Amino acid sequence: MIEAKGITYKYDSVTALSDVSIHIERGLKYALLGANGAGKTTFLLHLNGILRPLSGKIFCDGTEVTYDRKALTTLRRHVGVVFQDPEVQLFSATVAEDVSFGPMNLGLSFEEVKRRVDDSLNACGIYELKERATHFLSHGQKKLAAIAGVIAMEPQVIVLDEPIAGLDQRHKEMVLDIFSRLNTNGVTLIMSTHDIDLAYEWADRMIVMKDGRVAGVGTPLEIFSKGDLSISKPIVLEIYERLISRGLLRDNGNVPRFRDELLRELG
Amino acid sequence: MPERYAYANALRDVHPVEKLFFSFSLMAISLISSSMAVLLMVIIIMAAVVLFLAKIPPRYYLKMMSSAFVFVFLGSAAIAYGSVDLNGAMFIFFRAFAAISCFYFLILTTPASDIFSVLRKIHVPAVICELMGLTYRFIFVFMDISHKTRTAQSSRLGYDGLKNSYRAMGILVSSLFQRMFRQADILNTALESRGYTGELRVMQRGFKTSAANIAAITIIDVLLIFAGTR
Repeated sequence: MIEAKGITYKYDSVTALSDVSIHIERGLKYALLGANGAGKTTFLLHLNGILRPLSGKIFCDGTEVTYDRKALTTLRRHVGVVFQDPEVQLFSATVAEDVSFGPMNLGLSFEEVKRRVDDSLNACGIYELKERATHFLSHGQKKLAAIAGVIAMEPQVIVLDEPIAGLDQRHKEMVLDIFSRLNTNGVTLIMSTHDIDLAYEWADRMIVMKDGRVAGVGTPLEIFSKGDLSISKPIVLEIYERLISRGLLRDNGNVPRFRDELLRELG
Repeated sequence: MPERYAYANALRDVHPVEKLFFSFSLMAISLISSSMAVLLMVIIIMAAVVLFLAKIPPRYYLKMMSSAFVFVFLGSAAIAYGSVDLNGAMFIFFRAFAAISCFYFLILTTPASDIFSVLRKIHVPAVICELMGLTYRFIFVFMDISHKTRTAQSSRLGYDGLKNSYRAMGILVSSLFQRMFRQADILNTALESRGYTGELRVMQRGFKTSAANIAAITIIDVLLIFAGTR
């Protein structure tokens, strides 16, 4: 679906990405892990052409992204980005206006824009905030409004830059629910996060970045069985492995991903 | 903040053009009219509309009015003292108050976004509308940032004493300035990723024009003009 081949990027003289190659497959959920400054955001901004690699190439559905206006429009129609700070993503006075911005740029009819605004506000559970002023929303509500603005463009791929950072439990669950539903409908997701427990149970694939390079790509189990990626193990996996090594549990090959699965193993 | 009511009052769905027409026509009348009765009527009509039609809490309206009262009263008292023209000063007092009532009606019932959409409709250049819209939005963003910075500074004794206060204030202003550029950069990135190509087009709220409202406003205007010329 989207492929990065050997991309390198520098901020002035600081290398942010070096020789990053990743193939994003359709319909999967990717978790992007790595310490602050590992290059996660820089990588994500390459996925919809906001940043242009100094060397290397990005492919969208097999065609190379050429960075002329037409290619960028197509790419951004495909790939939506939810930024970390909703405050800067919202620019309009009211929620409905802001959400309508993307669909308007797609050149859709007024009825279609209206439908998409309503649908995406409903999908985010904030329809009642439609005519509210953006500056009176809470942080969680701003986040949901920013997400609605991206969903309204109906992209096939959504890039999420630390979408749950700084949210309370309720908004965290709301945000994750929205994206699970989208994924069930075939939307590919790429989420950067520092929450290893969440990444472990949520992701189909994990990408680990370190110092601007890809340190590992694979299923969560593959990643954590490597053990040399300097990221700590998710608590469920850690406890499971400890129980097996102590002989308290029999290794039947069914490694639990969720807390409930581990608890069930314990009987 | 009157802003809060502008987005949630009983006249929110009335066409902004009608509210602008109502506010500005009555304001014009109160600026021109030489009848005290007309000025009083404008004040009463505006108060009635704000309280009973827009359903703004009386306490809030009273608070806004009383803060205006201090300014207007001191101003006209100075004139009365300077010119010894008590009658003239009274006129200025009520004229100012009537005009303020008209203005308050507008800001309490009509959010800035609606006023921008009217400007767009009467073909004010898109660049100006967009600039106004962004400025308006970022007033709140920067108010929030400056508030947070100030809190952070205070918690480290930034405003303890005059010398510290000057220094902290200087840092606050310069950091806001830097933040502004950074913020603009991020905003541009965010807009681009939603397909921004140079014009901020958004869906405008649909409003229904009401012949009854326009007729009522016109009748009020005519009656006031008539009352003023008698």
